[in-house]
Amino acid sequence: MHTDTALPESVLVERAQDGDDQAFESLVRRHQDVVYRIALRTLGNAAEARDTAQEALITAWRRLPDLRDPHTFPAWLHRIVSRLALNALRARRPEDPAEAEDSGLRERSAGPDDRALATGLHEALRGALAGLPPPQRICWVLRELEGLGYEEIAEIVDTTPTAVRGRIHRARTHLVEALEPWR
Amino acid sequence: MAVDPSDDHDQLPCGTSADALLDHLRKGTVTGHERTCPHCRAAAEEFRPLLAALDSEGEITAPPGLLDDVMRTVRAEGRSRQTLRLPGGGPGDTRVRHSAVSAMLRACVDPAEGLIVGRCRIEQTPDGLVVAATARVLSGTVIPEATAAARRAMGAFVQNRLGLRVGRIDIDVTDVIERHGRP
Repeated sequence: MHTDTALPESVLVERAQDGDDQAFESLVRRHQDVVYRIALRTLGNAAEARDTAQEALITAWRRLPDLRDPHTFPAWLHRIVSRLALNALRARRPEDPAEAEDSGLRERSAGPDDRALATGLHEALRGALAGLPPPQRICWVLRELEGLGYEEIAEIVDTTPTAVRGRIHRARTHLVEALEPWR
Repeated sequence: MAVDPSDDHDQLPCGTSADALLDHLRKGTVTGHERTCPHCRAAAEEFRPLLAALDSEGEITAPPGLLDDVMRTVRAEGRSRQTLRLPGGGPGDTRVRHSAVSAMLRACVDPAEGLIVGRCRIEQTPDGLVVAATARVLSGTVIPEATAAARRAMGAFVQNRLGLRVGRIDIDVTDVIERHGRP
């Protein structure tokens, strides 16, 4: 129903909780970009990110009846995709191709030959992000790339706002150091 | 910049939070202090490649086909297999899925009358069909009139289109929504 797009989100959430798949489709249209972005920036691999985003959205549909406050839908969805992305990251073995791809980026981007290229800088950031421990990486992605607050991130990753602040601090320090050749 | 996990060390010697400074630099909302303080200026210089790398990120959108893949699974699963048995001569039964009845009941209520139905659950009881709905009212709506109109429309649908007796129609007004184009 095309009019769904004009409805308040909480109405769409309640309708989707009742099994209205058109309402859920409107929610997916609204949120699929951010869900995919969180997965991509956490995992650094497009194919894995697509699978994780798909799994997150289907998981959201299945668990939607348990969501008590429809206004919390976006944060709840961020939590689902963040946790799935973290799990996928932790399940990787070091020799996995996705990690190898990240390492390649990291080594290549560290070279000063790329200095003049904007893409080199961009790849250097991706490579440096891939070098962060998963808990730091997810906090950085949610804070600096999606603009979430400490409290919200703490809830998503199951820790305290102070711990989130510490992780973001360490992540930023690592990234600043990794990008130093571009100064 | 030294690597230190403690929260206190996220502060520059002048007391400014490095996280807040980075945020202000990204948003272009640098304060007078941050513009002139040597510690803030030194940190801003350190952040320059990181800021450039963050800015070089293009718009990331979900891959084409993600929405369709998600919705294919969602529609195949459905939400609830519960059905409503309608009266009528046999041979054979006529059953309608609860989610379909809910969708039709919601569609009976014209948002132009000032009421938007969210959740709509039904239960077949010995006294007739019981409907429990949540609704948002548009600002300026006379609530008793709008809910009475919604009850009439839903009741007529239950009796005339489903051929069932109306047990009760509960409408829980949960929120007020501003009308478009109004302050």
